[in-house]
Amino acid sequence: MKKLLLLLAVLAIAFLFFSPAALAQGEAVEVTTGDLLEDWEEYDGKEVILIGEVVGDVMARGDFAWITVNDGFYSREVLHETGALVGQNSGIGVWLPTEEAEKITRLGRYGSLGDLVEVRGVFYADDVQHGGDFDIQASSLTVLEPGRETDTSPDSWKYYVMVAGLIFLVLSTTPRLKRRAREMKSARALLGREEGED
Amino acid sequence: MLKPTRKDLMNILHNVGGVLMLLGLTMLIPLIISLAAGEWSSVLDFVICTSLTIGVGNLLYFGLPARGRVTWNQGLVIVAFSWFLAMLFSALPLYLSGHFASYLDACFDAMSGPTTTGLTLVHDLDHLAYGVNFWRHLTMFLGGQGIVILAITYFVAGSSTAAQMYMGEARDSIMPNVIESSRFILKVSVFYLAVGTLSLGLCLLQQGMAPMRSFFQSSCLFMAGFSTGGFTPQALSIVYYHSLLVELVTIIFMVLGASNFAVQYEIWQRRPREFYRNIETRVLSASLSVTLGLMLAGLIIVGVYSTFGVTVRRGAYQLISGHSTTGFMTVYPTQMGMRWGEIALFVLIIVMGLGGCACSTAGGIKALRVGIIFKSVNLKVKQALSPDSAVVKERIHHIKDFDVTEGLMGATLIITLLYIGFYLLGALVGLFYGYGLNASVFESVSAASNVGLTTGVTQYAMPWLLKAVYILEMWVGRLEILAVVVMFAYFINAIKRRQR
Repeated sequence: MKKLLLLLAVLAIAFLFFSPAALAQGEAVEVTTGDLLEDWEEYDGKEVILIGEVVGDVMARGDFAWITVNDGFYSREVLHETGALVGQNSGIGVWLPTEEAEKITRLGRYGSLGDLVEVRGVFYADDVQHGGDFDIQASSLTVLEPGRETDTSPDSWKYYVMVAGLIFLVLSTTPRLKRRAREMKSARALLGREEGED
Repeated sequence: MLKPTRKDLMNILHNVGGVLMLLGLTMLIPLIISLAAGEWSSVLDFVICTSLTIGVGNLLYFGLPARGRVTWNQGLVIVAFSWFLAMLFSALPLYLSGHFASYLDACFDAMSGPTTTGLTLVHDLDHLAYGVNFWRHLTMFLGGQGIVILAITYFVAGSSTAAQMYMGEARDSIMPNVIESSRFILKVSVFYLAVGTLSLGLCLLQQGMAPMRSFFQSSCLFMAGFSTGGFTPQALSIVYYHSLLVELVTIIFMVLGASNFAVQYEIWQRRPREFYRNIETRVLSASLSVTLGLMLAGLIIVGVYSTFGVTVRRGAYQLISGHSTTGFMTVYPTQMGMRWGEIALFVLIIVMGLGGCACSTAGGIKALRVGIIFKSVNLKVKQALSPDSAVVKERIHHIKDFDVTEGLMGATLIITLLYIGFYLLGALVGLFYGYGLNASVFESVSAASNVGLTTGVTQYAMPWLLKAVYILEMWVGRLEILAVVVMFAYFINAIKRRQR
């Protein structure tokens, strides 16, 4: 019975926290880029929280900077390590003060899993300040988990295939060499015949 | 009906071998980039792929010596078959990178790249190795200029053989000699590549990107933009840069790529009048004006953007991207599919179908054919209104003046109808798989016109048959259909002959 009551209390709190009423009151709700793309009308102009990996570049422009936060599967699982293929990246541009961007220690790229960050800011489906961008104007950024180098060492079988490929390349030149030898032979024969005639 | 002999097939394979050798050599560029970036896994991948591609090319080129001159139909078969084999070999480094779920998916991107389409099935692009990412864009650049055209420049001996192959790649000759034409296209492209990479690199630097990243990304964006391809080094396409400057510079790349090389040659020769007089310039100006008006009206009716300035910026960019058949996006695919409304999407379908100029890197029906069709309609109306004894003529200016003849009308209409047929084929398959009418038509036209814009249909989870149909559409669309149809007919005839 106690457990049931506890569960009901948790559900009630969750409902209050995530309800449209909460949104209307201006409390930040945690969202994904998928939520923003599908229910943009619900979140447009509201404060949101997005958790994801910072990828690519920090593009500083004066006192502010652009970053890209990916919140899909790959923001936590590295393809080169897990081999799990679940599709394309999902992410969104975040405009934030430069001092907040400076907290970023690592960006997600090949061989690197970027910082897992939490950005808090206002989502715009049509950001007039930025020419109609679909973005978040963030006020704060928190690094939840620093990024790390990822394992990109080649699979051992690739070395064997590479050697086999190089051997094939050398062997494939045989017809070329044979052809050249044939041409040289006939040229020499022609030359010998001409010398004989002289 | 022509019955190809063993000698004919050997002649074809010999020339295809030359194309493969060139393709293998170009893989050395991403190999060097991978080496410089310390991406050892990619280094191994490119060594494997280079060896294999050059090796097979060697065997075909030197193992099967040329037997006589290449005929017109052999030229078409060489081109179509070269593109098919180029797809299979270009897909190898993509597949080995581990970012593609199947070899078919890698082939999809390997066809999308050279055909300058830009649809992609890559997984986790934002963590892709520099070398492999560069390779994706390089295939666009090679395909945009014409893989076979490049091969002609270096491997094909004899101008008659070169001429047959040149025409097969859907290009008009700019100069009397096709080898000179190929070299001109290559020189101009390399010049633009240098200037474009530098200018966009400086823009990206100014927009806050690190120097090395700026120039890497600018070279990729130039290759994709000028080739009217549409791949981008980051998953968010042009949205990633949040920059009006980048949008303007990429518009210049797209327009240059979609413009007729023959007209560009005239301008290089200081004959700018050709630009104003050319039928394609007139058709594209009219088409852009009308469709921009319709597009903006569509977006305003739906009320996607709050200001007129923003509507123009987003709408015009997508319109130019679609009309030039590039496929760069400044909006999310889902956003476009869900929020842009039916009118804007319909306008995009129309401009994607029309495409850019003939003898450019653009796809689609092409402005020249649209111009000929309009002039033909005009001619028929004039003839109907004239006395029976009157001789009515309609002239077109494209480099030189020529009459609209029955033969020209017929040839133009056949190709146009074939394009429409392929647009419908892809749309039908999409419909059978349960996609909506708009989405099915949009994606099919995007594939067959080598555009690359998407409303979200193209993704790794789509059915394998739809992937195969889009691959076919990209292939036939790039080669303007005829070469691929002739190739299939040629091989079927060869098999029939063998059976007898």
